[in-house]
Amino acid sequence: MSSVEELRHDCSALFQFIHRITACCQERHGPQAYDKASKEFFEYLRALGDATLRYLDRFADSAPKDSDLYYTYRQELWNLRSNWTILHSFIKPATDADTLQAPTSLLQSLAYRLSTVTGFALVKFAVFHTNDLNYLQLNTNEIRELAQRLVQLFPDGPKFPDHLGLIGFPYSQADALFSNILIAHEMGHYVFQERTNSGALGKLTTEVANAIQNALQPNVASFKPEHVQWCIKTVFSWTQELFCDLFAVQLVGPAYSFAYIELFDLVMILDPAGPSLAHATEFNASHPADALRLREQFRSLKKNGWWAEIKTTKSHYVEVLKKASSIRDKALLPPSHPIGRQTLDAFLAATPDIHGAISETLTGIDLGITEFKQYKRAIADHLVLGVVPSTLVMNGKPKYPGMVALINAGYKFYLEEINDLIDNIDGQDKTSARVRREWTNRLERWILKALEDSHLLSHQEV
Amino acid sequence: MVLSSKQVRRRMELDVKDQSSLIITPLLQQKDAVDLDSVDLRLGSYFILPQVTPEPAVLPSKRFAGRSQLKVHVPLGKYLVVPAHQTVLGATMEFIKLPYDVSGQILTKSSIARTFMVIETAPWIHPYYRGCLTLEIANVSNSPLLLYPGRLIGQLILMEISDPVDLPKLQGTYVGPVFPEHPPFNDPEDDLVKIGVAVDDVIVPIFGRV
Repeated sequence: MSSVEELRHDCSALFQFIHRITACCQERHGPQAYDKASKEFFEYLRALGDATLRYLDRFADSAPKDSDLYYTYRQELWNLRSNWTILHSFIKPATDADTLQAPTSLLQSLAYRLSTVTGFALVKFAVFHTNDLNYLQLNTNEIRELAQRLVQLFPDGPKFPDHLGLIGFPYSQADALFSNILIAHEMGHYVFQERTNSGALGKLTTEVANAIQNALQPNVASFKPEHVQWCIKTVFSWTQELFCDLFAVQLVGPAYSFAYIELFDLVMILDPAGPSLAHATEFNASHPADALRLREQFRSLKKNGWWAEIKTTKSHYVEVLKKASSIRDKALLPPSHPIGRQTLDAFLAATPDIHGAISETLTGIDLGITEFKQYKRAIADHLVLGVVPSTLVMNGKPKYPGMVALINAGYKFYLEEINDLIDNIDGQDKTSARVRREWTNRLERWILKALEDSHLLSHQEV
Repeated sequence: MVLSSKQVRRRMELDVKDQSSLIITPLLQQKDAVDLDSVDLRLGSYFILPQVTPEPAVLPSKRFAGRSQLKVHVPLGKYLVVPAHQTVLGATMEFIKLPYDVSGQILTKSSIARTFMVIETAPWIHPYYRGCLTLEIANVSNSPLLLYPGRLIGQLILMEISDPVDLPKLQGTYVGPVFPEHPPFNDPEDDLVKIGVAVDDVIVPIFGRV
């Protein structure tokens, strides 16, 4: 059997491993700054690291002498190492996402808007960079479970902070506004998980389970159990994704759908030849088809009154939404799986319930349509003259538009009037993609600045 | 003629499309912000700090692009330390749109100036300007000084100009900056050739080409 001395060696090696990881989230004195949520996340990791290291420091002292028990005891070192290996994977991405390397004012505005939703008054989000061109939310439940596993080893370990979500965004998009609107979808994941934990989505869970049962009912005995399990897992995964889309549409407005179309280049579904549309109708094991997602976003926009406001927007993105709205259920393609069709049917039967769950989740929230109608022209009038639209003068009085009006009027301007802005500037060639990119970049900065100003103007002492 | 507080407020009530309109946003604590003949401005959160470069010297050229500069963000509530005898670039928190017939001058607030901090090394603002004002903030004291974004730092004096010029289009280079930006430069030979210096006569050190 191994000696205590050997165990001390192994503890020391693991101590070094974890110490190096936690050193990366020590408070820095460099130029980087972090928002409160990120700092809270780092504080948690530091406290967790300290507790782990304290535990490791004297771990070998209590090693059992019995050979069998010894290896059971030593197993804890392996557990610690594997848990810290998981944590390791996103510490650097989180430290990279300082306030200069993240769309800070957009995040602040989105979190503030989410805080008006019942049950989410205290919510905050730490952000981290992703290498993939993708947005994601780290499942808070999984992080909490990991934290719980560690705290079981050392009871003096810290509790994972309440109301803290973790969202990843592509490292290259730090100063973007439009593409980062997709962060609202990731906030939806946090809301979905929290409401599931609290039982508030119990009705949806029941309805989805019923839909699965109905879809499989006639032949349920003939399906393999693992196929049924796959079906259940897949329908719930699709349900969560669609929930998040509809959540984002209601939280932000149609700008979410436009950003979605742009990031995934779904303009191709307008191709009359059809192959791209066919591709967009395919479901995969984790996500519903893009065409379905857009169709349901369209339905949500229409139901809540946004569509009437944007349907005349002079943009091919509106045509994409119209095209998606006409896609019929039978045109949607299930993933390749023995019970793929039944799985898709179950999900389609549950989509009205997902809309219902969103309405329930966002009961009482102002969608911002009235404000958008009131301010959209004035916001565009400012942007076309190169002016940040945080204070609008209407009938001689200052008005301060909020996030939904700024983002949606800004996106509408981007789609319809960017040429008018470029026309107002001397020596600019609006046919050049480079020039258009430069002015789009400015436009995004102005709206981000307006979001920052809006927060200040609405929170100042009068 | 320097605009009075009444004239400032009257212009701020005009629609943005009116050439005479003045926009200052966000104008926080609005009642106190407009003085008899000036408008108080606050410090923004973005800065550019000078850095020591690995090259023997800095050549302002097309390739300059902030190679000797470090951009930082200091959120509200945090501070930036400006070492003694150093200069940093900052910007006003307020975005300004000047009317077609008004020039502006930004001055260090007197209370700030008495700490031996000066901001007015490029104080003149032309009609039609729009953007957050870039501030060259110099600590001319012998001690490090702390800057808090959001605090008052300057005052804007506005002057009506006689016989203003109608510009059909805005000049693009500096339209709408919302934080201090790395300045755009031509290469030295491009500038000098315009005044008759032969390209071959312009000596550019090797490191300036890297």
